[in-house]
Amino acid sequence: MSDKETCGDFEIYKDEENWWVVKDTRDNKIIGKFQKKDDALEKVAVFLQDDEERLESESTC
Amino acid sequence: MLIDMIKSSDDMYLYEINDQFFILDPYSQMFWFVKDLEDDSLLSNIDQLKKYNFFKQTKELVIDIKELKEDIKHIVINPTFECNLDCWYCYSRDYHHIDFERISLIDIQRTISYFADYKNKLNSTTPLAVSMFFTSEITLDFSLFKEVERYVNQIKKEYNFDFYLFPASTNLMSLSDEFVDFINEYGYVNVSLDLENKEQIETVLKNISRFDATVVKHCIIPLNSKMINLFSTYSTYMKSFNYVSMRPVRVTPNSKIPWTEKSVSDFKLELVKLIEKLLSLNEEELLDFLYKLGSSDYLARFIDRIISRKRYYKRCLAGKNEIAISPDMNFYPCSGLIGIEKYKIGSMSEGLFSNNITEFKKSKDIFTLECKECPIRYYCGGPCEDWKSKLNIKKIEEINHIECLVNHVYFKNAIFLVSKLCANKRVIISNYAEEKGIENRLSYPLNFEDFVLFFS
Repeated sequence: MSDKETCGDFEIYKDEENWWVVKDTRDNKIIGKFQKKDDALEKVAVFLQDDEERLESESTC
Repeated sequence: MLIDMIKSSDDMYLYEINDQFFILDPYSQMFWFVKDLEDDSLLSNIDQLKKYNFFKQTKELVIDIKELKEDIKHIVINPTFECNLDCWYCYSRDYHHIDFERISLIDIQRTISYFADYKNKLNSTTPLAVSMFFTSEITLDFSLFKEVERYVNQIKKEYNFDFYLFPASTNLMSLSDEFVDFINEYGYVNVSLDLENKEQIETVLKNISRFDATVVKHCIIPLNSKMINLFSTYSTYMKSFNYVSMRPVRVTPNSKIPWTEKSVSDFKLELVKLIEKLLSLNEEELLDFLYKLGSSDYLARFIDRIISRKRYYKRCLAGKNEIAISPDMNFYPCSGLIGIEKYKIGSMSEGLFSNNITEFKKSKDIFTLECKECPIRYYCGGPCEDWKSKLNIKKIEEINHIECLVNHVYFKNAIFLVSKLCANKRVIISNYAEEKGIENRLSYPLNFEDFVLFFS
């Protein structure tokens, strides 16, 4: 397993089977495994930007 | 050179606040500190992040938002314009002296049933919130509120959605035992307090003690551009209330204390002083202060939105999910727009005017207005039509730059406070987010170089 690299709540590392693993450290959940590191980084970027979850239609004046 | 490049881009914004530089990505609402603007690697770092879709709009999302179906979630019934105060900023002040006939209980019942049936036709399952007395003082006609409460309790079992009946904020100038008993059981009271009115201040501080200690008390202070010593003002009322909110008044240029470019600029200095004071408090004192900011406080509004990175695409629910009913039974998007013919969107006798509602929605659409290029559009959600009308801005596509100035002043000061806390006292941000029930989406490295390193 390679050294973990972290960005906020997310970490990536290479496991014993040579997959790049993306983990959400808030619940220790593995979000995905990727062959290329770049794909793993892209996944982290998508989660950080998190467009749909951030949508808010309710607002007070 | 680099500063000019960033400033000229629509996709990223550079802020300088108290000698600290920030880069803001308006789409992801992420921001980072930048230590050295002359650093040659800054440009390549920005390009590196662009490869991962930072500083880019997700166009598909905009289309989805526009296709969302609308539903009526909140109606505000305003039976009268009667009030025992004459506050200089009140949006129904011009009507206080006109002898409107009060809506009868039967008409109020018909109105509630009309909108409940409307929701039924939409197969809506969201609750119907009914508020009363936004244009008058609730305590002057509280027996009517109780009658309406009885009616709502009687009909709610006929519908597949819940009903909620909310009492409006009161000025606490006259209190009946019946109102006090109701609030003690209801458990929450909103009090609107004019700091220009010494008599009201004295009366409110006396009358607020008539409610049980268990009642959650929220003081709403209409904020004007001449207010000074904000920390001291907040602190004074936080002693008697559980929550205090300060929210800018929306007034005409001819009002007693108008918002102008100059007065916003003066007010900015007061807000800077407040932030400096907050940063000088210890952890316990600061959290205590932040927890006591109320639900309609403008500083809390921006702090919460910066921490949660929630993407607001609606300024408010007016005309979309919310309808105000005037004493003459006409419908308007907001109680502040009552009586202005061009904003009328229906009546009990004619129903809802779909064309007028569509036109009104255009006036708030941040995807087509000038807002679409504003860096803080998703923190703000778009213009307030009530404020726009006070400034007599008639064109739909024209926005209210005074409101924009106020919002930018609040945003900059809020992001400065949050960033300082993230850098030095992150635990305050996480505790605050937990207490307020908002998600903390600022757990990434706020130092731009550290953030880019992960993606390199």
